[in-house]
Amino acid sequence: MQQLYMPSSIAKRNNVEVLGQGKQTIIFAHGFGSDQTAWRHQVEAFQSNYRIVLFDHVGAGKSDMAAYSPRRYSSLYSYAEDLLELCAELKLSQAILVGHSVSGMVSLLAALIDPSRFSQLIFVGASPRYVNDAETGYIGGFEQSDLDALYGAMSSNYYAWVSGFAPIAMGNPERPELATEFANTLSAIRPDIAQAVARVIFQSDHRAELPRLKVPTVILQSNNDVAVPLVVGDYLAKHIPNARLININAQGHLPHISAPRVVTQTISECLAA
Amino acid sequence: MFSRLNLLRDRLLHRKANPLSPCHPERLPSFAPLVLGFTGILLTLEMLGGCPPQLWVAPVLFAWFTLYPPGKGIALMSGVGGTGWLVAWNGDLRHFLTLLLVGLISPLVRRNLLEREWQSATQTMLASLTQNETTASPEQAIAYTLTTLKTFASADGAIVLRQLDEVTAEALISLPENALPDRLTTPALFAEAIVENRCIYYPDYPVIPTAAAVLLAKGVQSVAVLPLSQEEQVRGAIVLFWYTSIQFSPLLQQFLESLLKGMGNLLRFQEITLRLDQLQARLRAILETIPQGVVFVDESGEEGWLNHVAATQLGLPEGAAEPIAIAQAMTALRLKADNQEDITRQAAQFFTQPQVEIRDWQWFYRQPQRQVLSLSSTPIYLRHLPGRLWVIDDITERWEADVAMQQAKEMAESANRAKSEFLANMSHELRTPLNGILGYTQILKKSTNLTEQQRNGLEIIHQSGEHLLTLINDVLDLSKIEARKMELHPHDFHFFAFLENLVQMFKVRARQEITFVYEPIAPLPKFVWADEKRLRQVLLNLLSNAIKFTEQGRVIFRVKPVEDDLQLDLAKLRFEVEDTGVGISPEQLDTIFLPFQQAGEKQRQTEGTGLGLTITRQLVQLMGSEIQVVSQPGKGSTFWFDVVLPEITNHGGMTVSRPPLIVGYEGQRCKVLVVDNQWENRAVLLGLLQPLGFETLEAVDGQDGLNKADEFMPDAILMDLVMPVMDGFEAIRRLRSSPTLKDVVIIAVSASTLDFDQETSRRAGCNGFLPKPVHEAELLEHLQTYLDLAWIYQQPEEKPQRWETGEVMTTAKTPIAFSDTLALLPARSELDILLDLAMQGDLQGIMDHIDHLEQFDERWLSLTRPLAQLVRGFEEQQVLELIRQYRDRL
Repeated sequence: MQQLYMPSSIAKRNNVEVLGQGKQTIIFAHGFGSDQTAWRHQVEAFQSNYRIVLFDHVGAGKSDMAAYSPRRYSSLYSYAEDLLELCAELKLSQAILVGHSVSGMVSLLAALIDPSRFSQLIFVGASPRYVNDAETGYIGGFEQSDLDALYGAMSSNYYAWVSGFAPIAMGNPERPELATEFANTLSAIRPDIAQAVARVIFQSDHRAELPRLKVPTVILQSNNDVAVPLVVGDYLAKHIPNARLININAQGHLPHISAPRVVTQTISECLAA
Repeated sequence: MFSRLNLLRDRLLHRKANPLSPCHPERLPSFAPLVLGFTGILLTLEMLGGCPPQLWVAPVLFAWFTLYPPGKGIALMSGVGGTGWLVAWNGDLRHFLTLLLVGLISPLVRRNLLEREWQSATQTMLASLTQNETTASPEQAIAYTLTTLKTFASADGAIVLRQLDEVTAEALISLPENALPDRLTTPALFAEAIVENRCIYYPDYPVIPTAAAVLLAKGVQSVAVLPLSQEEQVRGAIVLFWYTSIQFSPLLQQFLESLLKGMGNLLRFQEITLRLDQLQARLRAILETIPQGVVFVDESGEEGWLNHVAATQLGLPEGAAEPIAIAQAMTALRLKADNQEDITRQAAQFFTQPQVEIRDWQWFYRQPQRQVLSLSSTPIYLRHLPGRLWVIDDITERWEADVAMQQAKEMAESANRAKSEFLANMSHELRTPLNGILGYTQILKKSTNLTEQQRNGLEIIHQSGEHLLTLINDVLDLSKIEARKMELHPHDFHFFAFLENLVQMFKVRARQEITFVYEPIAPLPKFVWADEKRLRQVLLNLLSNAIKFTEQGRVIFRVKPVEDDLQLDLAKLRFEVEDTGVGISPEQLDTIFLPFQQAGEKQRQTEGTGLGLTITRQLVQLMGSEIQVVSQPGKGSTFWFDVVLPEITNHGGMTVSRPPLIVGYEGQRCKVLVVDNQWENRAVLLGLLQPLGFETLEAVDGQDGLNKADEFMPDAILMDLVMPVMDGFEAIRRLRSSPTLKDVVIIAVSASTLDFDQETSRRAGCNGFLPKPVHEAELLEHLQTYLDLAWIYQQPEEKPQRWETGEVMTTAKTPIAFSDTLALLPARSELDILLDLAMQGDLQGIMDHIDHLEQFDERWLSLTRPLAQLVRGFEEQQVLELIRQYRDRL
């Protein structure tokens, strides 16, 4: 008798949390190295007027680690598929999705597959490609050699790499506790998963998909983001048909943590619009 | 009615959106021409036969209802229309019945024909599957099959999926290409079909709970999942989907299910091909990475292959090559080698038998640069086709390294031999003059007409000489140990006598302020098997140190059995020397075993060479033990070591006392020629031989020895090896080639302590070898062996056994008593005589003098007893030392 493989229930697999009240649903999707707790400031601000859906991507936070497979998650489409399954499970349609970092592209892919699920996408620090492309003159912020060095550092001593990477990504050196928080969530990831996921993200290229997105999109771009240079925000806004770029007064790659009020304020402006 | 019309519209629209291909079974591709032909003929016959026009409709109706699906709306409309038409026409009822019959029969005919069409489609597809397996790549075969399947099933999309792991499935082929948003998806898509191991049909896909979001998002309404499961290895599925809700007809289901098996095989074929590709990729990577050239030739001459390195070596393009071209290139390479003779000889050896394994067939090249190739070859079989695999390894670097290493080794060995010779020479050259210096210093010191200054000067010369001699002995010992030339020579000996001997010596040596205590703890073995000489050396050193570094108090010498921690049933003994001396600080403890390190204040360091403990430790290590020490500065030190001394219980042949004294031999007198350039050495040997009745003659060098031997015609020659004019080796060679003297017994006598001389002299042709100083017992044993002598012994005296336990437990008082006793005797003049005799090595003289003293006064016994013991053991050095100790104490 063959063992029937039952996918772990989506709620368990993605550690789904639904809270708040309101007709409109906002899905908050975290980025690499963090988990749903990164959105606590925004949750606090919006939960009284919105239904809020939080989840952890497989491999991160309190997701079901048994559901992780380096093969399956070798493509951002798999995360998008997970997201769509989550939407189907919760019977969501016309939801607003706020996606940080990699979740920007994940939600874009999900919206390409099933646009009916989303009414608006809000990207925070998203990038369609991290590697510079000399042929097309695209600036992603990294040379391939930089990334190879980064993977090397990650594999030789993950925890040492974390302690170096967290402050750089977080920015805001005058508040070291922020970097410590990010370092903690980074360290919580299984090092093998972290390395595989980082590789998938940094090597991804979804520039070709941008023009196909129909869902209205807002791009929040902060300053001195080590992973996403300012020009990437311009690129996104230029290539996504129904997009609007907002440069926010915040530093580093995780503005929702380091400058929560600015991010919350900008999001509520987008919701009101 | 409305809903039916809607249904009709849907179907018509569907037809438009998704027209069936002409070859689709539903279009009856094989029967349609027949039906049409039949209809045409029937119609023609009717027209020509004058049938009423009403009946002309019948064949048309038949063709329509046979060739097209029985759309209920159309059938109903036809019925209604027909009836209306009949009524309007007011026709014959028979005509109407005929038409009705045709209308009812045609669908039955259609169903029958459809079954046949589907069957034929199944057969066609299965045939194409098996055909395609061998002709196209698995991907192409799968793509082709999937296309056909999609067409026959009128599906909007078809996907072949393979499960990669528990949560990952990969789309091998998707029709259309964008059927899935990505190559990767989840196996949940086909999990149910795999578990139930049958085709699953979802006519209304959106309502099932596990529906895939990616398919739903595309608007998929119906799905069929065909599981492809190969035991445990491969899991996958074919997923067909439709954008409209469809009913799965039994014919379609049957068709899909009958295809499953063939598709499963195809998937396995694909899997095998994939693995083969991976293996090939790996093999290629290996072959291109290894530094050896690899060549495969099949012996039927059909196939040949070589890797990148082999291609460079043979000057051929890499990859597949004609076996003839490879063979020619290899022959050309072989003929360019410089060691043709060796190669040909080895080839003759290799190729005389079939299926030979060739290993390390070396081809040497000087041009264009030095190169050494090592070829290996193994016969291999590829599907019963014999072939050969060649590996060509460039071993130039290894070969050059080997050559260099061999040269270095030879140089090192030659340097080592030179060092050994140097040590042998030094040993000889240094001891001889030193013995002269020391001997004459002793004699000079006896002169009465010396000034105080001269006496002091002589004392300094004496002490320095003694020190130098000890140093030379120690350095030689140490270098022998370090060159690993020191070996233990264990033998049986009387352990009690050995200990008593030591104890007596140190009781005498201990100063007045020190109590020397000997504590043997029973049970101790009576006889043991060990290297007596080295064990004594170790204990002498430890006891001498204890006395040397103890100003006052006591020195305790303990010997006791210890628990054998390994339970090997071997007698393990602990030797322990405890003193109340200056002690050693913890910092010094680390260094006392290093050469030239000593404890205590500066003035004490003048004594000894500083090598004693180094040698002692090395010797103890040779005995398989380790010397231990605990010490407290100012309070004293304890040194000990545990050593396994196997007890000898079967000592029937051994006597407790020394063997009786040899006084002569039976039979004719034997003649012995003593050849040595030093009169002292000759004197010692003559002194040993003459009293036993040997006729002796002396010669001063090799040449002199040859001359004397010619006249004297000796029975045996004792030959020194290192001499001026002609050395011993040369003399031995000449003697051996002399017709009259070639059989004479020759015993080499050498001061060299190295094995080297023994070996060389034996090769030169001598019968035996005696190291200097010559021990009487050894000399006599050699003579007895080679001259076949029967000794005459002195009648043994009846003396009580001295080595009973109980008697050995003695303590302190002796030295004081001894000194007191000696003070009453004319000790100094007697000791001077003994010292002279000892310096000359005249042991017999000492024995005679001891007898004389003992007869004169029994009080001498405390001195003569230990001395006689040492003399009987031929311990010349210790005899000398003991006599000096006695004199110093006066």
